[in-house]
Amino acid sequence: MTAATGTPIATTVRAPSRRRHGDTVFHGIVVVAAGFVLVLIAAIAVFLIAQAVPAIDKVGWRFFTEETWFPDAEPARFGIAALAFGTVLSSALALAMAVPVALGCALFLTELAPRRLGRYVGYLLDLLAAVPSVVYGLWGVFVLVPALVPVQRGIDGAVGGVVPVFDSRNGVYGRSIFAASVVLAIMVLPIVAALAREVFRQVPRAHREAAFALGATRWEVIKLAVLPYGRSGIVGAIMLGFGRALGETIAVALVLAASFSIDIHIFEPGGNTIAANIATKFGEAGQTGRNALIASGLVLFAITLLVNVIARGIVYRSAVAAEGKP
Amino acid sequence: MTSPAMAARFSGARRRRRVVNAAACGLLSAAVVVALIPLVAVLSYVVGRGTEALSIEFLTHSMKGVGPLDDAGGAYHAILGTLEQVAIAAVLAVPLGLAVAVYIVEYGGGRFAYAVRFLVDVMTGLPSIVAGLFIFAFWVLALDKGFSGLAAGLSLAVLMLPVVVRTSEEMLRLVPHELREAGYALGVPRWRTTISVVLPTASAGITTGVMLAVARVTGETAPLLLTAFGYDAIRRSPFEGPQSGLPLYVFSQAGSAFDVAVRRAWAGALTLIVIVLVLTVTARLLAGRSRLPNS
Amino acid sequence: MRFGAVLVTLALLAGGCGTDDNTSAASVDPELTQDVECATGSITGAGSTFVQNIAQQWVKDYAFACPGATVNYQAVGSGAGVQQFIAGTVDFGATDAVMKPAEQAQAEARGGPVLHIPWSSGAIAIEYNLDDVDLRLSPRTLAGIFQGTIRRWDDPAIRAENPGETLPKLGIQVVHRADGSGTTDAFTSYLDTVAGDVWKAGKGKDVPWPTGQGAKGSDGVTAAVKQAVGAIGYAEVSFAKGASLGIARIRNEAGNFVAPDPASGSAALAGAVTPPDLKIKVDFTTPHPDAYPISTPTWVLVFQRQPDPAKAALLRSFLSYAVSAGQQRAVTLHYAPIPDTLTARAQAAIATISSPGS
Repeated sequence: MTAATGTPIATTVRAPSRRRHGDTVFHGIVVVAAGFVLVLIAAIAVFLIAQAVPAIDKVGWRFFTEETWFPDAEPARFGIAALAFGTVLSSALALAMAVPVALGCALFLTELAPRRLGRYVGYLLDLLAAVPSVVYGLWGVFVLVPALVPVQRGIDGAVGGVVPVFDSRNGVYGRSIFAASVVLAIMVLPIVAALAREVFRQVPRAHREAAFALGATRWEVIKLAVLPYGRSGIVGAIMLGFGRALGETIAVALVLAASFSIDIHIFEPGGNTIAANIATKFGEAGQTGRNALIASGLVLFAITLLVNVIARGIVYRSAVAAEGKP
Repeated sequence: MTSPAMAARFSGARRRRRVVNAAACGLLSAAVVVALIPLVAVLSYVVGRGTEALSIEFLTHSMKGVGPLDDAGGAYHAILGTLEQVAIAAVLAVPLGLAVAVYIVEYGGGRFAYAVRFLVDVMTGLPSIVAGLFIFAFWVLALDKGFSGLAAGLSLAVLMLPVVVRTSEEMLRLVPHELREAGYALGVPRWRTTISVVLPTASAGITTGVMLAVARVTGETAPLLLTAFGYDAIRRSPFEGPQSGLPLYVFSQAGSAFDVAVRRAWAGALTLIVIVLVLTVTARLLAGRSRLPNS
Repeated sequence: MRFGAVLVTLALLAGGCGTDDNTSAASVDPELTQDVECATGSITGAGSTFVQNIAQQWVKDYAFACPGATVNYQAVGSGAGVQQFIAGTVDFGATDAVMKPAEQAQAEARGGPVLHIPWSSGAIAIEYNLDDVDLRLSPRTLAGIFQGTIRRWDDPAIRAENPGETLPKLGIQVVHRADGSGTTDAFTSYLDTVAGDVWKAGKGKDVPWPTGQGAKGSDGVTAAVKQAVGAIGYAEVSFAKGASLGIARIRNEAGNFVAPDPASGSAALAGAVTPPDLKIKVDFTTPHPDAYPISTPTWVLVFQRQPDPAKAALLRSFLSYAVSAGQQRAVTLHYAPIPDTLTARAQAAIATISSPGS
């Protein structure tokens, strides 16, 4: 991202113009390798579609509205409505929790921390990103979920009567959408923080210095020079974090208690996501069941692809803008 | 009599600005503390519970013939599987990723290179479960090859590729133009300059990137579920039949009702985290010794 | 490259020193296996998680008695077991629900006649996480809990059946299987039969659960119940016992509240009708006074004609151990032994497994 539109070296350095056999071969190899990336993405789409179609054929448009998941029944009944809802809800909640902290970390690292301290804290955040998701899941289900029960009970007791989202209708808490989104928040935090840090680093020194010269405090520099400049880059970073949360599988599969319903009560055990559902149902799925899971994976692929393309587009544009300005 | 009042208002505003500034800076620092709490909590639990359960027996035994209630068995077969699967992924993804990076940096510039670069970036956001589904749909179903360690390696390679490309690309860009020009000036062909001057100069940085990519895929569970499928005995060959992997092992043990299995899950998690963190930290140390400016 | 060296070193370290041999820790009983006529070679089976605990014990016993043979059992679930059996990727399947006619036709088109051999049976325990409560439930109350019409532990219906117990003022967390399962098939068939007016979700390997949260496998359900005070779920008895959870007594047709144990499970099976194809249909309303009503047999699936004579011999040898001496394992592992009359018929079916070469 730092060198999003970095001038290709090929255009600035003139190589010996004499054509050589070795050069042709080498050029051919790397071009084929690069082309393979395009082929790979296309192949992912093609093979997922090919395996998804037989399942979607069985239910037609109901695939998008049905909440239950009985692909191996006769007749097959399944759809991604509840799954897609849970996926988007848990990811959005995770982002709501992670983004303020992540931006705070990024600003601390670029604007406040002395160089040395910043580097060490940066390493620690990288470690947070390096912890495998299955470890977060294990910790989540045995440590975090029980620890969150009193928190959820407390919030429910205080505002649950007024705000139905925080209400648990039979006083049960635990492996809820809320718990899953806390785990997701921990997992996307270092990713958003790292991306935002890159964005803030691109803010030209001149902007900051101008603000300081006008007598601005550190916070005012951040508010007036850094944040406005990095706005679109931050939006991109948040979307990339969102894409990551949407596709997270194992930690959610371990923490969330699977249920199939569109339900806004985020403190009640239950809820499900597309990715976690694939992990739970795969072993037991029959022929149609597997195709149905691939169909749901195709939807996940399409959503994350869209989110990533838009996010990268924003980041690329903001990088172009950054390089265009003096 | 206006000026003292104005001065007072002025200094009041200044004080307020100072307070706001202090509060904001305090909040930003607090964000770092909040972010690091989970890291400390996760690591301390994994180390605490893991060391209790970890033993030589755990590292050298498989799960073959271990009843659900037996306090026995280990993760040897899973560790072996993970090493093989990750090695397969690295063998496939590293040369390919390097070649793509070389193309983008040394030969790129046109629309095609831009598209490749953009798609590689998009691919870094590919959910790992989708990579698993792809290899399942393509390798296991369409080609009818069945579950295997190789299939797992393929899905991990799909995840590793964009990471290798991006980090190698950044490292190659840091290689000073003068080095290339020196090569050309001596009449060395471009491909030889790339291989014997540019790549070696960037090698420390690239190694760091590759190790980080290896560390990332070592911890991936979701693709293994759909490609390696899991197995409770030692399967030395990754080419035939289902195999276990360490993350998959932790996942299946963690879902158990029995304390003996949960103990094995913590031991497995500790083993996994040690492998991943050793790779990550070594990568960082290597980066510190890089011959490149500001990498 | 350096990272390669690290990996190679790790692989070398790991390469030589691991073992599949877990017999030292395993409890084997030489008495049980003394009559086994050993075969050699290797067979693989997959399926039911319900039967997993006893099947793995048999595998262990058999490995001890016959070092020349390897039997592998993967507890992937009944649904997947049937799939893998049809696909021919395993030598035997294990399921808690008999194959559907369509499934059986598919399998027989590929490998000839399929044998359903009952090799164990067990009670499905209603497991719960409440301290100091000895729970008793009638079928209608049980159905109400899983239907979601009874939502709290201090509900009058539960209080009425548990005089003298202090029931907490706590919500009930229902835990059910998230994956297709023979256990679910048996449990929902039971609810559908005995309390169809309360239980509305029908029966099958997976049903549209009106309430509650899903978990993967009998193991996962038990784990979820264990992790939450006030939770209730269903799983094979050995899971509930292994996790030290409370197990409810269920009121049977005779009006007695009965806990699941090998004797009450066998009593339930004794009243079942066994057709010639051994696809036993359990009578959930058996009048036997000691019967635990939620019991189910579980089957092993094999093709009668085996292409490989060695595998045929090993299947005969292993399965015949399982249905005879192996049944003595049932009591300690909380399964119900299959009745003697059934054992003889199972043995007869096992004896027909053959190959063209033998």
